Amino acid sequence: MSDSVPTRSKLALKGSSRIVSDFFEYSIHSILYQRGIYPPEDFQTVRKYGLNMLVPTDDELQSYVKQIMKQLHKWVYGGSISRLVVAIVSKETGETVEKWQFNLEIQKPDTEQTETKTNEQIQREIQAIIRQITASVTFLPELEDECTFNVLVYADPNCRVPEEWGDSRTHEITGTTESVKFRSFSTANHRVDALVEYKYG
Amino acid sequence: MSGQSTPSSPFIAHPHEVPGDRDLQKRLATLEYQYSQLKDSYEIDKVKSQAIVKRLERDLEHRSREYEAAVSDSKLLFDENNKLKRELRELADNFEQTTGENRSLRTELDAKTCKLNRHLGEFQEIEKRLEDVIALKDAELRHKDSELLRLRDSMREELALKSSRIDELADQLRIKDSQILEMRERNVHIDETKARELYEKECSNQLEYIRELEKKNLELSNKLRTLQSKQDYVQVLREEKATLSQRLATYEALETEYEDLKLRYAAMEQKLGDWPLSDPPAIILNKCSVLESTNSQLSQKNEFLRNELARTQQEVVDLQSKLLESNDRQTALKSKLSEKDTENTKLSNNVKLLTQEIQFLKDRIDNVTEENTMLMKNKGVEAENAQKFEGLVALLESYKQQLQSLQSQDTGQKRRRSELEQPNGAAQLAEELKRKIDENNELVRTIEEKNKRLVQLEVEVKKLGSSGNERGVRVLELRENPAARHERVTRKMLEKLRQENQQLVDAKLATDQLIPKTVYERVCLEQDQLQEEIKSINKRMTRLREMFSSKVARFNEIVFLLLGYKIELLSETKLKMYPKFNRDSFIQVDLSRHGSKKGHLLDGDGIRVKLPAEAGFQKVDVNNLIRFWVQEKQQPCCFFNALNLELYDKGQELLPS
Repeated sequence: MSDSVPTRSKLALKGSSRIVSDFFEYSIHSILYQRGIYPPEDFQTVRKYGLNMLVPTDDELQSYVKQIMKQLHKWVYGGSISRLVVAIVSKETGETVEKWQFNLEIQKPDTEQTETKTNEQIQREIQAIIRQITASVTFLPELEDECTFNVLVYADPNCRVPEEWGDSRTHEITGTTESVKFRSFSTANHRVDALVEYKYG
Repeated sequence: MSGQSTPSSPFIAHPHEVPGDRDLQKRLATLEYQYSQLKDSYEIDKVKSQAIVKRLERDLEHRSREYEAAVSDSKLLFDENNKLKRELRELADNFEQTTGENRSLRTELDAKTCKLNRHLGEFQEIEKRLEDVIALKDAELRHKDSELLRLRDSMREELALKSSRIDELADQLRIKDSQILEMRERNVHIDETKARELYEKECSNQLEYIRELEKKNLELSNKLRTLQSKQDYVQVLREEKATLSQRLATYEALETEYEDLKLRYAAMEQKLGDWPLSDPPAIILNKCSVLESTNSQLSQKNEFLRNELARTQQEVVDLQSKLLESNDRQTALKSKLSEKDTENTKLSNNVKLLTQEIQFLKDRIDNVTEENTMLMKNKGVEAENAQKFEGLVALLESYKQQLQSLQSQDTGQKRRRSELEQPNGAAQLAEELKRKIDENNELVRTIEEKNKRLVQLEVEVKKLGSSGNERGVRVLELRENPAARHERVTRKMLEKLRQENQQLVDAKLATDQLIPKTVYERVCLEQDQLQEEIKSINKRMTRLREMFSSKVARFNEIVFLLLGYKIELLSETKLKMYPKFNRDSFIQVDLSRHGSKKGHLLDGDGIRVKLPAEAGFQKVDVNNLIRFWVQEKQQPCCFFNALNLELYDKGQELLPS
């Protein structure tokens, strides 16, 4: 019965998971656009979070991100992931030059803070993070080589993993690194912290 | 006699025979002998007679063949004779026919000449008449022209006089007016009405006179026009004269042709008269044909011989060039041979040195074994000796391998020497080989570097993996991700390059000429990658196009909203503009029409406006606007603004108040 009839808490979790996975999706798109991994003409503007967000028009990229998001939503809902990483890899050397980390914490819904948060507030918080991502281009070092990217998911070792997914290396950046922490946002059930780590010098 | 028994004693021939029988037997023997002789002679005679018969038969056969040939020859001759007779008859017929034709041609030509003479006369008459007419017309027209000129001058003079008179009258009128005014001023009591009447009468007279003058002027101008039309008629006549003179020229050409024909005819007649009376034309024709055939045969022979000569000359030239080439090749081969000999001697010296070394090492081994046997008792040193022995054996083995490789090189060199008949190809191959070796070295270096990097990365991965596992988190990725795809392709390429390198090294040792299969495979992989790139670039191009068209549409929309004109580009210089306030109209602007003045964007013809005055919409005076804003002020933008305003006003007027 508990599976078939959705309770209020379940619905809230589903909504929160949707918000988080949507945020991840739009963040990935923004990073890819801002860091020039794909050319600007491969993106089109859509209105989201009260901002002009860029989404890819390339079919391959779209299907790749969609495939990730489909599974990611399940994992977020299941509470089996703790981190999402967008690693930017140099095509020339194969080195990871930049890492965008999104740490996901599962919050208990009975705390006071989460209960009072409205959708507008959440959107404002997300807006702030997206703006920070956009503004980060000013201080991040220019990517000299042609780069590609990979999306890593730090998941529970006991979670169910589909066949399309496999174990990966952590894409650590070698040498001296610098990291900048961004703002965070939280919903009734989740809290997301953002961070960018890049090669320094 | 074959049935007789053999005698019992060699001394007694026939011991049991009777003496009387002996004569008979002798006689019988003689007879038998004679019989056999006769038989033999008969046989010989028979053979002889058979041979004679055969010869005779052969003779007969030969004769009969000859007879048959003679009969066939005679038949052929008979046929040929008949054929020649027939040809002769035909030629005679032909001759008669040609003479008849000649006669008919002559009569025809005579008739034509008569006709042409007649035509010539007619033409000459017409020409004369036309010339007379033209001269008359010309004189008449000239006379008329001079008259008209004179008349025009007189008219002009008269006109000048009249105009001066009009001026004078006008002056007088002005004076009169002033006088009237003065009079009015001076004396108010003078009868104004009378004066006015007088003045008006004078004026009407003057007006009538002016009208008359104008009428005369009109008449004169009409006359002038008629004269001008007459001048056109003269022009037509002149043209007609030109065509007639052309026709005359063609007639003259025909006449000369006719003269030529006449001359040819006379020459032919003379030729006919020059023919000797003794020989009939058929014989002459025969002779001529025979001579022609011999001539053609001889010319053919001559041509053939000439061709033969040219061919032989060409062959000689070819042979000489071949000889030169072979000489060059020989010298090149000699030089190569000497080089190879020196290389060979070097290699053989090397071999000698190595064999000496081997010998020396063998001796040393022997010494060592001897020492070993001597020091067998000393067990501590035994292991060391064994090690030394092994090392020396290994050294020996390596020397042996070196020797073998040198020998193989030597054999390779010998084999290549035989292939050195094409020196250029060998040089090219050597160059290519050198280049390939350099490439290989470079590739080996990069592979080594990559390997080092790979080892480092693997160590790092292990380290990091272990740390990740320690935390109890599983790092996951989609197997088909862009980074992995790129890595896979790079790895594949690296693998192919490694294989290629290996095969190139092998090929270098083996033949130096073959291209290994891996090169092809690597090139295929590269091609695939390039095709992928092309695909992505094409995709990007279409996206850029789409973006461009959407941006252009947006730009047009903004221009329409702000400036009130929808712009449509027809070509590089032409554009069509649809005004906001009257959608049915349009303005076509041609920017290439910028007039002759510098800095001007447009001239008056550069703008074409279609403004229908339909459904109560009043027509705007666009030409005035163009004249003012575009032509005078040179401000097309103001023209568009003014037009917009006008259209807006007209539109507002239409609206119900």
